[in-house]
Amino acid sequence: MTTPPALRLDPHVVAFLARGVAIVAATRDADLQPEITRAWGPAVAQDGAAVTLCLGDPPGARTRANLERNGAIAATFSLPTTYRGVQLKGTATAVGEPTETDLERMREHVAAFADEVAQVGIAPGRAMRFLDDRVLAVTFTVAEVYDQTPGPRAGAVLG
Amino acid sequence: MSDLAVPLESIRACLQGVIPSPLATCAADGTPNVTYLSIVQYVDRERVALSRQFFNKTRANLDANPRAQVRVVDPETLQDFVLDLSYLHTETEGPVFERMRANLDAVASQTGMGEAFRLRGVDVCRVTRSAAVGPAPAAPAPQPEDRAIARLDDFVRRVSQCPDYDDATRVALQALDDLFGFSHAILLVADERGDRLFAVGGNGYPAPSAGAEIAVGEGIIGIAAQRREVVCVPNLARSRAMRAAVRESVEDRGGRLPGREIPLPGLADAQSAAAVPLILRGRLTGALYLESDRPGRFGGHNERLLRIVGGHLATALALLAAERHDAPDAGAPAAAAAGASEPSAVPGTAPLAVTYYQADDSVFVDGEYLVKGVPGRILWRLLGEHARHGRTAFTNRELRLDESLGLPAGADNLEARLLVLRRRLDAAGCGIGLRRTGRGRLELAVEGAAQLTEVPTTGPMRAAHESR
Repeated sequence: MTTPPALRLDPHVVAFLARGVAIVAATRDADLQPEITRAWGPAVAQDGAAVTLCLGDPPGARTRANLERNGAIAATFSLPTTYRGVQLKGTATAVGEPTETDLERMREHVAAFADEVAQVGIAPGRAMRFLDDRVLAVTFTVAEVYDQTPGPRAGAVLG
Repeated sequence: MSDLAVPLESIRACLQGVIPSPLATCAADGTPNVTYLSIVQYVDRERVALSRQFFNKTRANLDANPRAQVRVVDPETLQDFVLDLSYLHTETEGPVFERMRANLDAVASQTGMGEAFRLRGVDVCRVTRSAAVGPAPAAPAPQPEDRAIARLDDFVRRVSQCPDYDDATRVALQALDDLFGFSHAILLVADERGDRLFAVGGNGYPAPSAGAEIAVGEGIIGIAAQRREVVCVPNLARSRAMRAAVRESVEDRGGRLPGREIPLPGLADAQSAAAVPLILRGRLTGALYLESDRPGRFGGHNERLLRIVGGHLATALALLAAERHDAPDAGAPAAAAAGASEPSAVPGTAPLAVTYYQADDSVFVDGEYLVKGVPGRILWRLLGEHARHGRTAFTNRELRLDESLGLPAGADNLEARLLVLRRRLDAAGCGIGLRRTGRGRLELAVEGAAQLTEVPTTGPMRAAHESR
């Protein structure tokens, strides 16, 4: 797979990703059929050029196969209380089982997410329903960053 | 029958927007895109419609590649379902578009978002695959249609047994609570000009609702009335958060949202709401407003029920209002005069100071606002007769025929106006009472004496007053 030039995430975006954001990721197959999955525990590489996520990998999901074949990925991070959102697009460089560090980060993120959704009326215990039993760890380089906050600015290029 | 593994009919509760639905598309060059949608609406067994407001990349992607996927969430179980979609076409008019637009416009108007939230089109897609994500929970027993029909049957029967208009408004609201669990409801009636709605009664609120007014075209209730569509707002907290985000986005571009948030007439912390227009022979006659402290109480899953309830209420109330329960005509004034008595001053009590402002027909008792508009004019007429001739007994008929009240010919609304007036008087406890003493008969009771003061207007408001 070819890797387009990576950009470095703005510190504001990095700080935003560290909050209790809801994350959805999309991949696609050879027929350009997209596949959505929820994602958890984002980590941004020191140089701001790559992001690691734990992606839900429920039975029957095509996410892993898609990533192994073409690597194309988009992920939208959105704060449930304010609807502020950011979308990253890039190419996977590593796909595999999550490490203990990945899982620890995922647990921390899930707790922050539960606090967020509690404010919009979903009890923290119920929010766990969104968690997938199986996850895989994906690292991707970031090629594009978009503002995904609803409104006239939606889709504008950030950073 | 469609051959979808999860029939769309069975997941209608997911298709109402309580929890945002992510939508993924893919560009021709293979770059995926994922964003959130406001509404995924059920169209039929095989198709859904997606709201198109802001997302430009989605638009471009669907034009280049019709394959998409959406995830929808059951608001009760939080079970995710995935739907593979094939984009068919975009509609910018027609029933699917209008229904979705009424819902979004209602939220936009309610929260003061204006144009920024405008629906540009609905993208109609065929669902090519549906599946539960992860281990599917035990499927909830589908509510048998019989049960809904049994409850509707009960509702219709209760309302049809009501002898008069007042009773019907009370019984209908109570029945909505008993049968469907709609425990916070306000019934509104359209005024003669059809540009305002006024509340004639409510159920489930600490404060009386009668007399509250809503402009047609404004807010959830006003938009439902204007568009003649049932409007459901499944998640008001989400709508408010969305408004804040849109405002920030608009203001960052140096713009300003045009509107302000419109206060809802009911619960301070309502989480979901529905407004049902009452339509009779194509004319707006009123609205039913329902709200809940729980998100997701109203949406696509009960929209049809609400439409039937609204249709029946419109018909039942119109029939009761049009029935001339007028007292026998045998010399109405003489009969009324029989009920006359001398206004008796209770020793030691100061007379009630009643002030009437022509400008807006408002009536104040001892400095406290009581009522305005047509009910105000009616009260002023009754108090005048009482003061001049000591009358306490009146008939609906004489009011209907009284030119000075400015009621339109036909005056279908007289019952509703009298109802508002009686409820306002009951709630105010100001020493003036009005009660029904039989079909088409009213009795006015004034504690002690009343001192009446009329404040005329000659300004522009007078002109408005006279044009009515």
